[in-house]
Amino acid sequence: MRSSRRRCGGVGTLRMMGATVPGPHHLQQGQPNQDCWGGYGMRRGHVLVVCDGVGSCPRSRQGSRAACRAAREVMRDASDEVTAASFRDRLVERWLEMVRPGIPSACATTCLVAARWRSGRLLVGGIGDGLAAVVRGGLEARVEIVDGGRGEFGETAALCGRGEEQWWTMRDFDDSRGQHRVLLATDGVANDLVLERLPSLVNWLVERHGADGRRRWRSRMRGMLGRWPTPGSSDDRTLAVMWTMTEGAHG
Amino acid sequence: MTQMSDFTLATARPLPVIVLADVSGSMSEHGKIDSLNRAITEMITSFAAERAERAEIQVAVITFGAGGARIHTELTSAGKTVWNPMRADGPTPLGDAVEVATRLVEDRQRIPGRAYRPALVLVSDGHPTDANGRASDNWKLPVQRLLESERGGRADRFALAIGDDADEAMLSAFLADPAKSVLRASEAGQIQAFFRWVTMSVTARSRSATPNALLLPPPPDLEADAF
Repeated sequence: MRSSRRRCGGVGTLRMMGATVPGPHHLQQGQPNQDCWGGYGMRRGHVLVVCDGVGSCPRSRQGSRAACRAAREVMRDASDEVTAASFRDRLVERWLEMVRPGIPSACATTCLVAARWRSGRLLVGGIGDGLAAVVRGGLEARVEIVDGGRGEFGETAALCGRGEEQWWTMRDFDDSRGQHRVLLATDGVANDLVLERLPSLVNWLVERHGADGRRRWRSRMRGMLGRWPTPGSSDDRTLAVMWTMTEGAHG
Repeated sequence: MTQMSDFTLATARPLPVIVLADVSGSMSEHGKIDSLNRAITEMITSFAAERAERAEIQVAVITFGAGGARIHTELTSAGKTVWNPMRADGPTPLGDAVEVATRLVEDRQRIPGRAYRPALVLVSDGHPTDANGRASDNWKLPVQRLLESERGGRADRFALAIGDDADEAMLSAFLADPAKSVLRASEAGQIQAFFRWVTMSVTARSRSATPNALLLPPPPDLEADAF
């Protein structure tokens, strides 16, 4: 688990937290977690990424990890004027470079990403199942669900090469006032969430637990993901949040 | 104190089983409708007794006969299903039933995105007709629409031909899977054997770590199961 605290364009401190646990199925099989998440702060801004290696692909674990690294490298080099399409294409190209000389389709992974530049531009989206939600603070909590795919019946769009542009969804937000909170989750979490309660969940994670230190947050969140309350869930589970902690706030 | 369970669903992901049951007049002969009622009751009872935590098996029954096609049993958890026996009368408006099934499968309110791949079970003893009982191929377009729909084409499909008059070509078109074949029940008692096979397939999926994967046990030898 990683986390990041960075000054964020003068409106506060940007924080990113996340946790992942292997699902019961992989634990039973003695197989590793195929999910991966990363939160990276750098000169231009921050990027939060959550990936779920496609279970039927033999090297999907490698693919999900490569996608996290690819998002970090794309963010490192991308100005806040980059178009969403260019950001997407650079991520795909960088991911392809990382998984080769392997066969990209063997490394297929979902990829949900939230990039926030210091100017306040927030770009959220991705490819594949899972959930990318943006909650805007203030009196009217608003959720934008940027669902990157058509994941149903165990099938999903995935990052596996060029020519998949139609399965990507990317959406821009103006977060210059630092009021947006982003939640990214793989399908092992997203499938069981009550969507109507997403704003409450995000606010609870931020306000109740956001002030926790990194280790405490990791411990709490892994415990919650490991003791998942919905029966029958067997997938790996990953959840990550990004928010701006304003001056004087505790979460 | 707030906890994660305040934000999550309390039930396992649904695994819908949708039966399209022919209740045309010919089904009242030779005890076929009685056998079908017993078979579906037994299937629902088995699902309700299933303790698999992985999935919540849900059942809906669409009938086609007198009065057209209609939802006889709403999609409900098997444990909560209240079964009312079907009665046989009227023509065989199969096309209408397939349209009802397609609407149900594609309804994101009733079958949410988190659901596992549904099972569609078609049982018929005759040739499709229009609403007035005239032989018709008006089932072809609805079946094509089902197979081309986003979810219907990916559903796990089963088909049973009851008796020698059943339209096997139509049932094969519904299956649209060279790896599967239409089973034929020449006696009413074999209907239950067919539904036990469907039950076995669905419960195997519900116990599996990957319930979306299709697990098809060997088909039953219906002749051996006859009584």
